Amino acid sequence: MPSAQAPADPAETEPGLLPEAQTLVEAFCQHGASIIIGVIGLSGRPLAGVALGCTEFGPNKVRVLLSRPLNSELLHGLMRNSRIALTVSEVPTHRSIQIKGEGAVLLAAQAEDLQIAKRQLRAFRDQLIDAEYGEAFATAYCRFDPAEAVAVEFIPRAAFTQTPGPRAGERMQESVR
Amino acid sequence: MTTLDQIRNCLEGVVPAFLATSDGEGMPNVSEISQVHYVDPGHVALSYQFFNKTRRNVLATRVASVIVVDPDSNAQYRLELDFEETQTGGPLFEAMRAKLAGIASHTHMESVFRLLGSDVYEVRAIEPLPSRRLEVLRPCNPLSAARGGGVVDARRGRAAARPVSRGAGAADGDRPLDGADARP
Repeated sequence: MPSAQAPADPAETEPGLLPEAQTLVEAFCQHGASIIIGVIGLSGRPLAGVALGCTEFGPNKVRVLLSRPLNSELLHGLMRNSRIALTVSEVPTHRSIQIKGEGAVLLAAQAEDLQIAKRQLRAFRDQLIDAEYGEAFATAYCRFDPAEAVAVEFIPRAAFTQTPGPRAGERMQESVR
Repeated sequence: MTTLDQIRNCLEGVVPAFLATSDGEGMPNVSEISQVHYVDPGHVALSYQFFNKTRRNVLATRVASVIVVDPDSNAQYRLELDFEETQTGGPLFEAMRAKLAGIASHTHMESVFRLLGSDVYEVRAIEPLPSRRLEVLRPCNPLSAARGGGVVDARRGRAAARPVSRGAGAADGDRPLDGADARP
């Protein structure tokens, strides 16, 4: 549970991200990637969720699109605790990057969000088919109703390598400084 | 009401699962994991392969949330988990090690995946998520039930069904899966 007295972890309080993380996440999303999120629910327990797309990825702002019905409990949790974790994984290579941030806010999805998410999900669907998940499954997994989409924006604080292996969890800034 | 036995097809390691934890300060962490292993009607086990952030979080807070996906129907469920123990040997560990080797081979991760322990969790709740579902006709495969039963007996000698369900919605239209894994 959160502790008000505990000192902040300096690895998670510095603002902004290195261009390396931005470039990789943008490339993953463009080519089709799995995007998942983690938040703290109203009960104080962690909650896993699935995102539709990452529609903006800047040094000081990340914007993701979520299905509201699929993530209703998670969105309620975000309104109380605005800290968020986002992991983007490339299907064929399993390369993954995790972004941790704070100050998450819920916003209405814009037409541009929907266009970007559709493009990313189309690419993700193709990646799943290439990975032999089957066309029917891949299509169902990547389908969404634009009317049910909601945007979440947050301030990124740090990026971590999340590719499976012993280096998973290593902070990206440390690896390039 | 959804039980763990009804969602056995999600626990075959075909689609990665999504695991969220948090540290002691309330910062969430989320990662894809290769294996959520059925232990008994009230427990699953996750593979412990590296002493990473997820592992540290679980040891610190002893709670987790995982989303599992049925590779045939795209049914999705969020499981609320309480960490109980880590096993580093025995039937459960050996079963998970064998399964992990198969997953590693299929995903070309043989040099990366190495099981250090089987982390056993109590499943506190299963929440069906309103995903887009495919109609699936799935015959029962008795071999799957036999495999699971062996692990139950070896681990605790406990096999009493325990309903673990929360929420409604998509669950109402669920087709019972009977623990089958008879994909082609």
